Amino acid sequence: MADADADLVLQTQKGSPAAFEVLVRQHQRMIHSLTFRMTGSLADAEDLAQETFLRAYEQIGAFRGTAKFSTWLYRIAVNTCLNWRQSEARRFQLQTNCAEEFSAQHLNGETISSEDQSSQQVQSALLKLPAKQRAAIVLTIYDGLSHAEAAQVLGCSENTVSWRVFAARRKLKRWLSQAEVCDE
Amino acid sequence: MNDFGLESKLKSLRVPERTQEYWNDFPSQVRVQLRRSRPEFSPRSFSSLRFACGGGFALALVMVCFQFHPLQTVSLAIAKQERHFHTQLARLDTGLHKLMLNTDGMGYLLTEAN
Repeated sequence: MADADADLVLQTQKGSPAAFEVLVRQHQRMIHSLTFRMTGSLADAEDLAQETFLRAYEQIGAFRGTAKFSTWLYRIAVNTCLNWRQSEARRFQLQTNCAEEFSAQHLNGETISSEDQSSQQVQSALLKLPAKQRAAIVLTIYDGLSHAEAAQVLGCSENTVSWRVFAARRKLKRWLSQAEVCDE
Repeated sequence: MNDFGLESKLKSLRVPERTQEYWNDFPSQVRVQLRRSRPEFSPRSFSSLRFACGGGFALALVMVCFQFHPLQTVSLAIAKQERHFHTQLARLDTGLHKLMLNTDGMGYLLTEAN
């Protein structure tokens, strides 16, 4: 295991919760960012991040170090997010909440920076994507993984990742262009 | 919108900041959850060890039960009979050899056969 986390992983496998706590501390921000981009909700992101670490602890005995610990952890996080029962109704509700929050700020006369506006548009567009396409975009665009690495995380072929990224980018371009036109 | 425009637009998505206190508390929250929701939990390698011990105990139990099972008694009786048969066969073999060396005995046998 040629990984900076190797020693901590080994200690955890021997039953040290303290070593696992250090691993959580080191990777918590990365996992929270991923779960937030996948859900668009701070509360859900927190729950899913917690669930990711609980599952990781549960499965750490099976971790053999063939991949980096962070890649392995990413995989658990993505699967946790994909299994998250995000029904169409729930997704619609999130988008509605996002839009309502945005309108309320307008009505209250609050100034919304163009960065905030852009951020909300992107979050809304990401949530409209199918979960697997969203995962491909989050891993490759935000976390900077190559298609091969993302394939390892998602447990599919590199071609599948490329296709998902391509399809997602095409949709995002369309939706975000429309949003820009509406703003003008 | 071109690829570059899309990428910079996507990267404008910001993850809301959390307080330092939150980051300090999160690992201990996970630890508490581990104890609360999965009290019986331990990493899988240790579960495997427990499983192996359990399996060994179960196997030993089955062997002890088998020792006192009626089938075991039957098989012991068969083995005893088999040993007796081999002893008798060995004696017969010796007896037959003596019989064949005794010409009178052989003549008697041939007369009986005819």
